[in-house]
Amino acid sequence: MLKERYARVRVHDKGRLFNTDLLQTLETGHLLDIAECIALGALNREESRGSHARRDFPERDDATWLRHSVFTRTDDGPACSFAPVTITRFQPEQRSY
Amino acid sequence: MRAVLDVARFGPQAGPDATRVDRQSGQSGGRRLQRYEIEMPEGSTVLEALMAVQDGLDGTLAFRRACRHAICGSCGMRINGCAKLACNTQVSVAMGQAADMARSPGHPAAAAAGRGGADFHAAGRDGADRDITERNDGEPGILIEPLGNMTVIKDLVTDMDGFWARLRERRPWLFPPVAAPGPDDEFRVSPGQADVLAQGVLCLECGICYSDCNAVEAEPQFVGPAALVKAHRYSFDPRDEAVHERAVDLAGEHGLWECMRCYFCTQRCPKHIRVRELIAQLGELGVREGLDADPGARHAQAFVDSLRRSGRLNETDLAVKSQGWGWTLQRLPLAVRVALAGKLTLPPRPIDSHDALLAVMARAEQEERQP
Repeated sequence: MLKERYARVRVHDKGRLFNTDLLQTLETGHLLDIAECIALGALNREESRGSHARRDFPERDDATWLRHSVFTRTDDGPACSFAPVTITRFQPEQRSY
Repeated sequence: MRAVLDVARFGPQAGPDATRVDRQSGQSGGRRLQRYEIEMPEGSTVLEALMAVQDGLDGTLAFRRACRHAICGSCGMRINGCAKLACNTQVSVAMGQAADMARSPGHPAAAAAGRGGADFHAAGRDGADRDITERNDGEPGILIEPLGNMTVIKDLVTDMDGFWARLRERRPWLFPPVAAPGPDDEFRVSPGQADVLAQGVLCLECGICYSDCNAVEAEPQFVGPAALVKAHRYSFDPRDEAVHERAVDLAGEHGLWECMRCYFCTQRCPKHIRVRELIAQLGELGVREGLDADPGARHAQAFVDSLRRSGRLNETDLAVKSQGWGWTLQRLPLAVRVALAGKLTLPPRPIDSHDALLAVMARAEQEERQP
């Protein structure tokens, strides 16, 4: 797993000045965290919506899934909960092209 | 395809010699050339080669980059002596250029590289200009250095604060007309008026023109080409009401008349902005706004006057009109020497077809006045 490999990551540049090596290493860790949240959210979300497209659930389902996925960090990895969407001026509707 | 990169390193990661800063100029003096050799796919850019070096060979190498397709302006650096975007420069082209430079030290590119190379000599290499082959002990490599006219922070990363300050000082935003149109009205800009701004809006603010600007090198207080492009973009906007204020700012000391018209900015710009032409238009705008006191403005006007009078250049008149009698009389001994050498001429007699020239000038003026 990428996260296990990342646990053994080494930073080549030990300097304190404009250390892009360190910056990119930190960014890689963040990317892995976010990627895990996206994958978990996609597994939970049994519908298709925009770029989140599932063959097993090809339709958009506003009744169940018009809500935010919210992720919190726990010792066992990210935990997913849900929050309501506040709709103001623009009503959400299916986009068809 | 093999990429050979000779990169100017600066900072503690590049060794104890590579941290020296020249106390007088603030420029880094102690840079060290480091050679990287790496196999790259056909069609790779210099930026991709640098990223491959950073990923696979040396994580301590520092440079700025973001978009990788010449729209963000982050990866400006000197490649074979000329400021360029690394993402917009092919390895194969730069390698060929390096080989050309190595073969012929008299090549213009080799002369340009010598300008960057001078910093290495200052770092303790001996003073005489050397050709590329000697510097690289044989195989030519792509010479990669940080942008010029800026202090180096680390390797290819420069401190751009001075560059940004000059842009900000030109107030690069619209000052809308006092009598604003009503809430349902729009500011109308015709396609012709928008065309005038089309070049200026392309500016990436990458600092490439500023890096290689000879006038900035001679006078670090000079406003520099990018800030003038910004000033042009707003001063020629029909919605802007700060035209005069900006013109006053640019007509003063270290303003647009310090441009020495070398056209390096125009040649280097990765977005092909004809920078010098925009600066000339700003100069003209300033004169139209009545700001013609600067010797640069008077010099330009004296050219026009001389052509209008005779169709020839009256150089004696030019000196007096540009610099004034006081300046000219102080240089009387020089004037005498110039006269003795037969260079001080009487007002020239008009050319034969002077009327035709006047007609051409009138037509040109008419064309330029049309927005």
